[in-house]
Amino acid sequence: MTASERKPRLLYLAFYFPPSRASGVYRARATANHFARAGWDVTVLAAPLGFLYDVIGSTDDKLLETVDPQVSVERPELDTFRWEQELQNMSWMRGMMPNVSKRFFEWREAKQFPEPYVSWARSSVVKGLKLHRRKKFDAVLATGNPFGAFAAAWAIGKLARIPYVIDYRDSWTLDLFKDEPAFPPKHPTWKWERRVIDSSAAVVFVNNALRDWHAERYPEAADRMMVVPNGWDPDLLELPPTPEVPAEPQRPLNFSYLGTITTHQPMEEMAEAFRIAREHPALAGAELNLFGHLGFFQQSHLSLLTRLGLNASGKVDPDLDAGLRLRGPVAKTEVSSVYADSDALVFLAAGGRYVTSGKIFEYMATGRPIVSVHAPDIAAREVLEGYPLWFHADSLDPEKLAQSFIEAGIAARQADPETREAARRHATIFKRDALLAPLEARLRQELSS
Amino acid sequence: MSTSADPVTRPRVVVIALGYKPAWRVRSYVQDLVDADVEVDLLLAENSSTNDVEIDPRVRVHRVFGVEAAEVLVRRIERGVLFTLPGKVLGKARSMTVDRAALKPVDVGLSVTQRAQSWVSRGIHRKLFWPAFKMMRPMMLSRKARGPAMKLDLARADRIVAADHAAVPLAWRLSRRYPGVRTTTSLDRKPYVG
Repeated sequence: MTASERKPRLLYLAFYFPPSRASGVYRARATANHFARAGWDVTVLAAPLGFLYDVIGSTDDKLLETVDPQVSVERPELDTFRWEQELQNMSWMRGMMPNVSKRFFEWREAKQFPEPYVSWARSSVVKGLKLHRRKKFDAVLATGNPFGAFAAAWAIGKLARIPYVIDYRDSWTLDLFKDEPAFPPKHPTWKWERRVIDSSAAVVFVNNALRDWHAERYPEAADRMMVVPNGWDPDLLELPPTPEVPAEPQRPLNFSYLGTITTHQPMEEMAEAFRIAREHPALAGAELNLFGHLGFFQQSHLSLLTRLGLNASGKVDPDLDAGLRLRGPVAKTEVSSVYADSDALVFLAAGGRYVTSGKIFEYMATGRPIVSVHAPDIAAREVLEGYPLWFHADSLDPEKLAQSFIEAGIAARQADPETREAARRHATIFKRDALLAPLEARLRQELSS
Repeated sequence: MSTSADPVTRPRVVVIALGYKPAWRVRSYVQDLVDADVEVDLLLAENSSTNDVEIDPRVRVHRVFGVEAAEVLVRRIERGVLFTLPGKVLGKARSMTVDRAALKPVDVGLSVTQRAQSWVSRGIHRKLFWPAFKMMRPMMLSRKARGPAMKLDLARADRIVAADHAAVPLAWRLSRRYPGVRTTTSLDRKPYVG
């Protein structure tokens, strides 16, 4: 093989990668696949399987099958000290002096990088350099969280003298739920962020609001900052070829929410609004089906159930029934059938003007009416503007939200095929491959320069 | 000898919570287990601080101490040296000076000394003794509580749960002794509940 035939090699640091089904995994999967299809030799450094299966417990093996076979995946080690719960696996020191060993562990970790996943970042550097010695990489791309991936990309970039790009899939130093810095001014995270941004070839954000916030803080890097919105993945979503027929007038409507439900989301408002909306004849007997995990960790669902008006086992209390039904997680590959069975979709989102959410793109792709339940100034507005079946109250007042539910319900019964087609057309600009193309071009440009 | 058919065996969990008062999450865990018809043994540190805690009568509660402060030597010594002894000495001295006009200035001096001693002793207890004792307490408890724990027929347990930090050393020792029994810090209700 001649030098000109050699594929450019990309080292991609993505902790959450299939079979994980964390919310950020779809962007990582799509990025790896996109680069592989664009002619790159992609190696992904991802979280160890033991951590995904035993600690997080949120996995989807079918999702692993959707990773391009040309992508090679390595899984550097992660020290699971802080997640270890089985005493049989603990050392004498840990077992007999739990307080001392915990403090020592935390001190040692914090000294290296201010984040719990630092051990994975450390082993990623070792692994990345080992692979680089065997066969040279041309660029490094890292996606956060965890942001230890950025530090690892920085270290590999320095030691291997190759350009690196960091992808802020999530926010690091900005608290998205409070719209304020997430760390006090002297916190070591700021030093790290400056360091990784200063030396990076490009910095990627998911929306303009986040890009602007960072550009204001790091003006010298502003010209290297770009926006790659989250999109939707046509290979994971089977869309019927033609717009569906509207819901029959006598059939109760199915509203659906898909995604992980987390503590910051305005779920009480949603439940109350839906309870009010069900009193309208258009929504008589309607159900709001919640598909997905409750919380990010295996134990985090109990407190969320009561906030949704459900009992400890997730069942409906007949006296308090607001029409909410807990349906549990569905495999990503089965999401299409959930959309097909839904008359309208509920966009329940936490946070404010910096939050886009990945789910909204897929929602739009279905061409279904969408009800917004979130703060009015959310960044997702910029992608929803122009979607003809978007119903939003611009408020979290349950009465106003209920009105949106009613309007969406009426649209689900009455929207004509042209409107639904226009809705889908709006979504085509957010196909993932189209959105990732500028990032791939940027990295190629780095290679040629 | 004829034997009757074995009754259906109920799952059995031994929960160890050696903090002074079992936290809400521990109580709710234990409650959920007994509600799911699990046999639960709960081992607590002492009687005095846990007597008023509401625990379902179906839970078999065991305790390591009646009153920890009275039964642990180092705590008895600390109490004696910091509070009892100086209190007795100064109390005796004051009993000789109080209500005697001629010894009024001495009595005032002793009263001030008594207050100062009490303040210093409390400071030493809170700032020096207690942080060090807190660090060592789990290890100490792992020895003291081994006897009561061994009486719980642990080999027959399905799971041993260390429900708080103080319980970890004891549970760790038990995990070595009973390698076949799952010993964990997780208050995981599976597979017993729901």
